[in-house]
Amino acid sequence: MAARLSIVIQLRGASVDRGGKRVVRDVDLALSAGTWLGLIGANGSGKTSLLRALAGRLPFAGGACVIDGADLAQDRLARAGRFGFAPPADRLPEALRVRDLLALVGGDLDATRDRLGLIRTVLGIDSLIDRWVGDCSAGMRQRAAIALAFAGGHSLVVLDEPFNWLDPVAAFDLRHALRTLVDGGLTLVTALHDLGTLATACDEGMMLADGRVALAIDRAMLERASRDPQAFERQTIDLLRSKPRG
Amino acid sequence: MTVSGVDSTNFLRKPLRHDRMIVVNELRRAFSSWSDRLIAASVVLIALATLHASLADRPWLVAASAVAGLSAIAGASAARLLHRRLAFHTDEGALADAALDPRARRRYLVAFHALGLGVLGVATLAARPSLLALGLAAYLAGAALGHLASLAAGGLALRRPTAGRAMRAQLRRPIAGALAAIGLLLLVLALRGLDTPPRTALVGAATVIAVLGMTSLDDSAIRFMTLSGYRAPRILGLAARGPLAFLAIGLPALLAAANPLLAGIVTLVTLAGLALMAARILAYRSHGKRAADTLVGICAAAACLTGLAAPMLLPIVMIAIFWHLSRRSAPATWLLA
Repeated sequence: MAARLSIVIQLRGASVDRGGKRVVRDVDLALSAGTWLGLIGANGSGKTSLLRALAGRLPFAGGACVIDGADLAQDRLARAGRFGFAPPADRLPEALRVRDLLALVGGDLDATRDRLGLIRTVLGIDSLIDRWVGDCSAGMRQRAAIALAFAGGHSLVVLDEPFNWLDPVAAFDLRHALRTLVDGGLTLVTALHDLGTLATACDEGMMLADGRVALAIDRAMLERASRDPQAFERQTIDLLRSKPRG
Repeated sequence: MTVSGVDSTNFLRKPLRHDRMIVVNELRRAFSSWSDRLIAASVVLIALATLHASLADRPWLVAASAVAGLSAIAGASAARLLHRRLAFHTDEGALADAALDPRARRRYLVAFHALGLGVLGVATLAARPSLLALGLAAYLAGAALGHLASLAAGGLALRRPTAGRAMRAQLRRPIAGALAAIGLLLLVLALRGLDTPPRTALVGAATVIAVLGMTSLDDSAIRFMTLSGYRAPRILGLAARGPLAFLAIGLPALLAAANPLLAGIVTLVTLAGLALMAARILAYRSHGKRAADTLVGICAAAACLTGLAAPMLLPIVMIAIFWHLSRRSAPATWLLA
């Protein structure tokens, strides 16, 4: 728990533009090492844009993005190198095998498989490794995309709605594996639509509405939520309903 | 056999290796049988021979202008394509850290432009060797302009396919075909004072543009419809409503106006567009976009060359092409979960 005292990700007034429009505005965030942040919000609220900017896939239009003490807001290359990131599953190239992608991201394939550890087991990567991406179902592609986020052995990982397309068993196992990795020191930022996961697995939460932070959800709130998930769901849904869609 | 198990310790070569593997694997898929390779090789040889026949005996200035223009367009198109690929890598791919590195980007661009120069060099040598230096220089100039234009236009920004997808969906509606036909008829009326050749050329060009717009396809939508159990004829029926409406209104109106030449052109162009669309639908059901477009491009080139060289054989070649694509498309299956 001592590791959790050090702030590894800090956003101050972070903004992101897409297609000439500001989609994320003035987001503040401070995240300790060994923490799982769950980001929730309506479709189009800015979750994906914020995650992509954090992981260097989009530029920040303004504000500060401090990673391990260094402001990397203007350095996409450095941010991309610091974060493990699951690419959109539907954009994985169909003409490559899963093993090709893992080797490209992680280097030596055997070392990459070892590095995946628990993720390799719960996602059944060994059974996918020789498949063409084009022959994979949506769930299989999602499993491959998540594995890519861990193939480089990063201690900071961004996953955008990682439980989409997964069957219930895989989703359950992945949730527990991620929690175990976070307890072991991983810092994880995920977009979620599953309030149950937010309540029971995350350490902190944030609700975005129209690109702004509508609600910061701290540990105490999540502990209460895990004791009464139905009440938490009702309150959260009411709040989401009251916010404008992006 | 596929490109696989690469040593990806060389960080800077990752995007290049990624795309090289895709190109090699797509080509192997598109030309998996000996008959495919034979057709492709024949088309390449015939195309080179046609190029040679077209340019070898032309006055030097005419040939030089053609080579310089085509080479510059090739360079600019390659630059645009490479910028799009790099944008994919940096924004949505798994190798963003490497693709954002300026050294890796330079390697990527140099490698693929070298490939483009190589292909252009072979084509120019086959067409007219004395124009080799001019062709290569024009390619490089076109590429430089293409890169500058891509950067100026924010070519590195994330592509937004949704606007194009929505427009394509609108263009496939029967009302779009009806409006296009009315527009064409108004154009014919407006041009009635012109001589026949320029009027025919203008109406033909307008028809080509309209048909290209109405027969554009969204490859991911085709795959989704296939996944959802739609058979190829049903997909074609849905996609062809716009061009069929265009033909249904345009053809009788032009015949009624006693303009059989334009009616024939409109019919031919629309049917050709529909045939091309049907071929792409069949190909998208069983191939990725790039492999499908390559395959259909080769088939279309084979059909065009047959039509020019031996028109009597065209129906047989068309039947063979569609039989081949249908056979490939039939066993296309996807897992649902």
